[in-house]
Amino acid sequence: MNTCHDDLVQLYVEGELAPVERAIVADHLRACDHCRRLATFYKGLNWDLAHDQDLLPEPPSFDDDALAAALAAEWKRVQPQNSGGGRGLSTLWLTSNPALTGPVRLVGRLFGRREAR
Amino acid sequence: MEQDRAILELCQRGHAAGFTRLVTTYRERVYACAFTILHNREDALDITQEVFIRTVRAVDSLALDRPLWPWLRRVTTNLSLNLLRSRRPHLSLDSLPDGNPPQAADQPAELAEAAWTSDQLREAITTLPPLWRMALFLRHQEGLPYEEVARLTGLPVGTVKTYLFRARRMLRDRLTDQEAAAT
Repeated sequence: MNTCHDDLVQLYVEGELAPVERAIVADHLRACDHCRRLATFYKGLNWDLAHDQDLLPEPPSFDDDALAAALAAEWKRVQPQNSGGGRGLSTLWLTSNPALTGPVRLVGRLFGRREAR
Repeated sequence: MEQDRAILELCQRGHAAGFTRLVTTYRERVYACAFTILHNREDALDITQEVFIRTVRAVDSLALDRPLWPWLRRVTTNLSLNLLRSRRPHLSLDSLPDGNPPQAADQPAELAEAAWTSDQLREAITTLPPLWRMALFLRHQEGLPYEEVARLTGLPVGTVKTYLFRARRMLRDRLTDQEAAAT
């Protein structure tokens, strides 16, 4: 590695290079003052990006109770679709609805007679 | 993990305490993730609420033996990116205002002595394009490998690396400019 290469220095600092590449970049850093400075800079930058809590946004004031209540309401709204309770209710409705059970019984009787014949 | 399991079990049974714990445990993390991408307080608040609503809708399908945060992070990044794309369908989320990515040029000799405050770094980060900012957040603040950042952003790994190289170079330019202006 005879020329300076910013991307490789960044990968070196992150420990993302293969051992062979790492050795080449390490050799270059020993000889190149400019890239050593780059490496020092990126180490500091990466550390701050990972650890500086002041970079995170100021958390706004949340209305926890209102949001939790909205979530509870949403849970109730979607539960009949997702749980067995909803299916049980609809099965009950189907089996107790004469408008549906009447024709089904009639078809059953017709097929039953045909079977008997 | 145990905390997540308890939250999920309560939520799956519809206990109010579960929803409260879900919100109080993760609201700030979800908000920070959304804000980092959107850089707008109201939008980040809307996304935060929507993330929790989506979580409740899917709560029965969430595994009790898995951490909750990766799910929340994925929903947050997806919703935030969708919002950005819906607002700017004709604009690229990775281009700079002047369209010129920073080049790996020679740097001033005072680079090693460059020092910055949290405010200066935060200010410099706000000048990055949304996708660069998002990649930076996922890589450094979330500590994710490149492959995971690529999966979450829907970008090829090579593109993620390119965005991160450019983002760090741009931060370097901004911070060294500020340093030079201060001296």
